[in-house]
Amino acid sequence: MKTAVVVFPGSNCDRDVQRAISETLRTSVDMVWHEEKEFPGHPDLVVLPGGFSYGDYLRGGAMAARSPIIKAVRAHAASGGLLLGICNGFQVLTQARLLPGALIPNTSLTFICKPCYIRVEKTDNPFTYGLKEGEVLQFPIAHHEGLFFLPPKELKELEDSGRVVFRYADPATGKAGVEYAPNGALNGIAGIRNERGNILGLMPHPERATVAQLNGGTDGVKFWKSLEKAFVGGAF
Amino acid sequence: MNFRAEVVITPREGVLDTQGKAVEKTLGNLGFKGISEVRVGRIVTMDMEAENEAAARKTAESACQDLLANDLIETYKIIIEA
Amino acid sequence: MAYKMDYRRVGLTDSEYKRINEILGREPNALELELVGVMWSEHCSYKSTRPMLKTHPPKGKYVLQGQGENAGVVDMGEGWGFAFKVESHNHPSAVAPFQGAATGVGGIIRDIIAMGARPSVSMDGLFFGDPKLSKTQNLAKGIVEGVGSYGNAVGVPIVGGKTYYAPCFTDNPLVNAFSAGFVRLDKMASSQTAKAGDLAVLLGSKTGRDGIAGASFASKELAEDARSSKPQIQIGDPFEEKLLIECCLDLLDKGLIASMQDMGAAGILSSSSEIACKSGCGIDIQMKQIPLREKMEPWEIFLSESQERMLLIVEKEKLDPVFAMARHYGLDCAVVGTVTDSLKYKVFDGEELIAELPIGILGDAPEVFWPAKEPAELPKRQVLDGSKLASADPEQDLLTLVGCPNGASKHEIWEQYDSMVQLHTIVGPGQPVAAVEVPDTKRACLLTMEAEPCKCWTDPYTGAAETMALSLRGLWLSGADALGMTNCLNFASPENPEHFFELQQSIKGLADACRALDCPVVSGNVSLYNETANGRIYPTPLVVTAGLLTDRDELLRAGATKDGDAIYMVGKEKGSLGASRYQDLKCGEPLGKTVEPDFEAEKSFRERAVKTARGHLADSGRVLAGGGLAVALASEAIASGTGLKIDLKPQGARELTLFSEGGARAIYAVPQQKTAEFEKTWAGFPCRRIGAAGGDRLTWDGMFDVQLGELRKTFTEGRQ
Repeated sequence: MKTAVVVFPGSNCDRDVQRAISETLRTSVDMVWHEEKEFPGHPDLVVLPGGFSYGDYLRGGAMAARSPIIKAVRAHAASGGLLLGICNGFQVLTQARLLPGALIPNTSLTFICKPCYIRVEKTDNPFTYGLKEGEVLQFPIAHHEGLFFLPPKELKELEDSGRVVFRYADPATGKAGVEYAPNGALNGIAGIRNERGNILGLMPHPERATVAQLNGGTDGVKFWKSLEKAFVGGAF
Repeated sequence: MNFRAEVVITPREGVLDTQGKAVEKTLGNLGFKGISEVRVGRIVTMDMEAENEAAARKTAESACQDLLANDLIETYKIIIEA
Repeated sequence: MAYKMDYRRVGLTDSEYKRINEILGREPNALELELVGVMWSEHCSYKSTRPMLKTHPPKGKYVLQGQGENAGVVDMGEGWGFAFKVESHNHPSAVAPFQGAATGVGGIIRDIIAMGARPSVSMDGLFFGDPKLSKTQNLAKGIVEGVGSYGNAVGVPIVGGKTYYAPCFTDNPLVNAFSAGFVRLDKMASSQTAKAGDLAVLLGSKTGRDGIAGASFASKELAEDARSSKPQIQIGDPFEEKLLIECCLDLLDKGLIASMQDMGAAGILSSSSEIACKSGCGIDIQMKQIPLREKMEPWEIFLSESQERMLLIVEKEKLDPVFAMARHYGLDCAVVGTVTDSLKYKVFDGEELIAELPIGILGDAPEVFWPAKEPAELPKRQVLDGSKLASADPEQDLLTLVGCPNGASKHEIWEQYDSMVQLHTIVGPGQPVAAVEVPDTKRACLLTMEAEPCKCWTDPYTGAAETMALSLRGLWLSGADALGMTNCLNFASPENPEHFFELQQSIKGLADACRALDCPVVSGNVSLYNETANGRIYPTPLVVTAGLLTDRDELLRAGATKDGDAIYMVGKEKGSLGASRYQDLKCGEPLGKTVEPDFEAEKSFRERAVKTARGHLADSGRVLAGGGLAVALASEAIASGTGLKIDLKPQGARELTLFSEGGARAIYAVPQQKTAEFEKTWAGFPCRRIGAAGGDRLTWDGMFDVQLGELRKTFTEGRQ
């Protein structure tokens, strides 16, 4: 599975994603600067990583969403390629209208970095295909603007169409919802996909839960392997 | 001609304004009475060259739609001065 | 002798100005006066402390680069160096907490870049005043947000730190910013390799009025109305800094530059003069080439502390690719001068030569030998009335120590910091020792940050020695070899003989401990004049010590006690209640000396502790620190999630056993099958089994019996 990671000015987690994917899936990962007009070769997976693109100035992800590379990102998604946005990357996807909604400041109005539990709501897409519905995973969060927002009508539409993929949860009981969201995200929404199912955006960081000797756990490994399973199996 | 545009961007009606809520509460704690509907937003000011005021306003509008405001959650007001 | 220039205005003394005239053979002109004035300020020249700092042991088997460069570098093995340094940003943070703290973080990060290292970790030592005052709460909030906003945006994880409250810091908060990074030894940068013909290139932000005369600002006490000092505050841009990091590392990687200097205090002036001086060259600066944000006077340009700028030394042939690289990253770049062999610092305004100084003069401030006098009330500070220290209710006292501002969990602070970015954090904030992966190896770099202001107040020598030993004990217990230390000396005005005595004695305490315990001092920073009309800070030498584990699997952590483990205490059963957390709480102020240093005992501890960790003889271990044995047991129980049943019968006053601090003492949780080997390892050193792990209560017969849940709640939520 060929992977490309976009690097915006100010991206911080690009090399983390590169390491997590290349070590887990033993594939090479291309780093692509935001000024490029296209991706080298034809990547199967494009990742928009976390960090502070453009310093999070104006609105998180707003300026990155207008980068030259975004045209190629849209084309890649339109052709059915897999597109993953993590944290700031998720913000970029919403700013670029590739995913619905907006990420606004956490209810605490502070930056929050801690372990975080999310429940897998759906496995009907290439990202969570290899996971189990209802299982609770730990991916650390680190963000200031992670409160997922949609007006009530659009929010209901999103839920009814089954496009919520991850929801903040309680690891002890397996229950999920806004009461378990550290940032106040509506309905406890942690990650969503587009209609077609080839674009996923999530606030928690799977790459931080990948390398065993570090302090983030290893649930991220399941996520990357699930992606690979879907891709290799050609299920989508 | 030289113009100065001032764009005031605020959260839309119905959007969670966590900052506005916090500020409203603090003002209450400080003893301010009868204050409600506090919204916290942003101001962007820019100098621009344009034929006339209408043209300047059109440029500012485009800037808002293309970048400055996220119309899902924000609304904006433009003031043009010569 | 009647001089024409008003040298006192730039902070120079009569004798200093006389010396300048001797060196130049004339009076300096207005611009030259400003340049020398700021370079000879305390903040830039360290004139009051240089002679004493020379007594710090600089060499060690792991030291690759000692004092003299932007940061110290120690050898982590397998081709990796570790550049690290701590710096203060106290005065700016007192006046504008958010930006003061933010730019403090930015400044130290650039020192690490200047060594060619990618800034990889940060830590912060924050000292605040009485937490009940809204002034303290506002300062603390601004400072914590400032640290987080910069560190998070620039992508350097904050893996540990120290937050401490004492009334003496109310008007003088301290912000000590530590940063460090890994560097490939064959790619290290230097500030000593410039040669005649090379070009001086300014990379990064345009120059503006930020922090004008910040160096002299930091060399004087804060004025009554601190707000009038506002124009001197620097504003930070972490986005620009991130681009600077990537650009500089890329330039180094491609061999386009070999020499870099961060622009810190007195920006362009200090960076350009230092690089030329250290390289044995001169430098011509063309003022007109310096990109400016606004119209500025010549002296303002040189003294400006606009952030996010680096000075690069570039060979002529490499200029074009350097400019192309800067463009790629969207950074401003300009040639501002030429390195010469004239050994002179020359400033040109177009064709006109407007300043000319021998290159050495700027770095050559005459050392100042302030008189030292033992504080008249020092003996009084050391008197401890034992009657005040009786514990009528050890359980309540324990809960108070665990829940007081200095004991309670600081998670509300460090959860605002990204502690995991860059994917190398093994042990993060909230633990006694931080641990970070050495890239692409099985090695781990360990870090401790310590300061003991109360103990230094009652006896600066002993307090400083204890501070240093404490920072080492944590590393040894974890299994690491200590590689080197960096320190930040936070003190009041050296012009007061009693304060200078404290500074002198603290430096001696650190130096003696370092020498005896084989820990070189590789870098450091001094912040003096931390006082206002309302009062002065306690002597606060802060140390950050780095250690190395060649096999990260040998790391012995705290908080990993398992059900059924035997609990041991090693070291003397009693330390001292002098200037301890317990004593301070009971008496309302620190009184009494801590324990005298016993370096032989420390070495004995070191040998056995390292053996214990590397031999996997314990599940968990923790050095005794604030609150002594009782708090260490409580901390261990809370972190491990297991109860402890202690049956030690104190010899003598129980308060001493429960709450005393100081000296090489620790607790261990040892699995039953390893107890024999553990006891054998600790033969020859005080060691006693004191209980066992299990259940869900922390109990000690006759002392306390607390539910784990209540203990955790007290720790997490605090208790006044």
